[in-house]
Amino acid sequence: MEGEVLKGHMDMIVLSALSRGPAHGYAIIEEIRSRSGGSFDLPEGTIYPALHRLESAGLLSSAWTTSETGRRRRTYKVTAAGRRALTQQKDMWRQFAAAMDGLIGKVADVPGA
Amino acid sequence: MSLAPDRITLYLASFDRHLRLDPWARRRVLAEIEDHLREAEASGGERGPESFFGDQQGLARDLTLAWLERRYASLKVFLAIAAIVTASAMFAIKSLLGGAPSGGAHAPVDAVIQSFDRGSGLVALLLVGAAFLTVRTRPFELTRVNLFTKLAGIAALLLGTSVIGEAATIALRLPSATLPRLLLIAAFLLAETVAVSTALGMWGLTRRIVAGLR
Repeated sequence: MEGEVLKGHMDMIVLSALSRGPAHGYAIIEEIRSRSGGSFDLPEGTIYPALHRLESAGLLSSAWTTSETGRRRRTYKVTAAGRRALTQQKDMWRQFAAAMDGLIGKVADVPGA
Repeated sequence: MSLAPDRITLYLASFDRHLRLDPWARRRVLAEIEDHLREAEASGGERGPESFFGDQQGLARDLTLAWLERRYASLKVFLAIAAIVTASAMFAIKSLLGGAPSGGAHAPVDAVIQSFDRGSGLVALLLVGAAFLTVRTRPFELTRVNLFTKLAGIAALLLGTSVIGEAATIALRLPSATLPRLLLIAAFLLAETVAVSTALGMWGLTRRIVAGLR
């Protein structure tokens, strides 16, 4: 799927990827790739601005941790406000998807469409 | 073929040249990007850093924008605090010094300093109001953030001038003030100084980021 299409839904994608537990940037991208069955292949350059923006909005928090190789890394987790925002965004998305399903269905039903 | 460490180092050095962030944010961003590239390398990635993150300038701009949002939000908070603390301290100090005469010989100097102090304080408060009005409808539009930062800078400098004027006024009246009052005045003056210095510091960081985006 095109990166530009995904950019519009970046907040929900990142919050969803982190909803199962804390992770660092690389692991978040891998999680998104794996949970979307490879459809969401996000450019790495889009993830860090989104993470920093979500953190400043109070939807994520972050802390330095140490990897198995001893490298310092920034690990992110969803805050309580982030969980509430994710629930709201999921509801909106489901409404949108249901409406779009109805619309596409109706267009497909029109003879000659 | 795996990613050679020197390619990562070169990419980071070039990326760093485009980053216009405060030192703390810059270190954090560079550490995160390096960790990502090293992990990709350890996982057997064959792509170069550019294929992950694109050109350094574009990535630096996106990250700078994300950090501007953070610093700008902090600037708004600290500027509002500085304005409230300075205005409150100004009134409190005025009432604490109310009965203390400045002394005959210093009276004209005192009057000039007081007018200067109050004038700059008042203009600063008006500028703070104007700055917040400019971003009332569109809180994060770059042109408006730029204007907010300029107005905030002038306002913070004027608040600082007002605090210095206040300190001079207090100094002229020191001999006639009692110790308990002096301690209270010192506490208010300290609170003003801390609040205004923090606002000025945050303004400096925000201005640097805005300048990097132009």
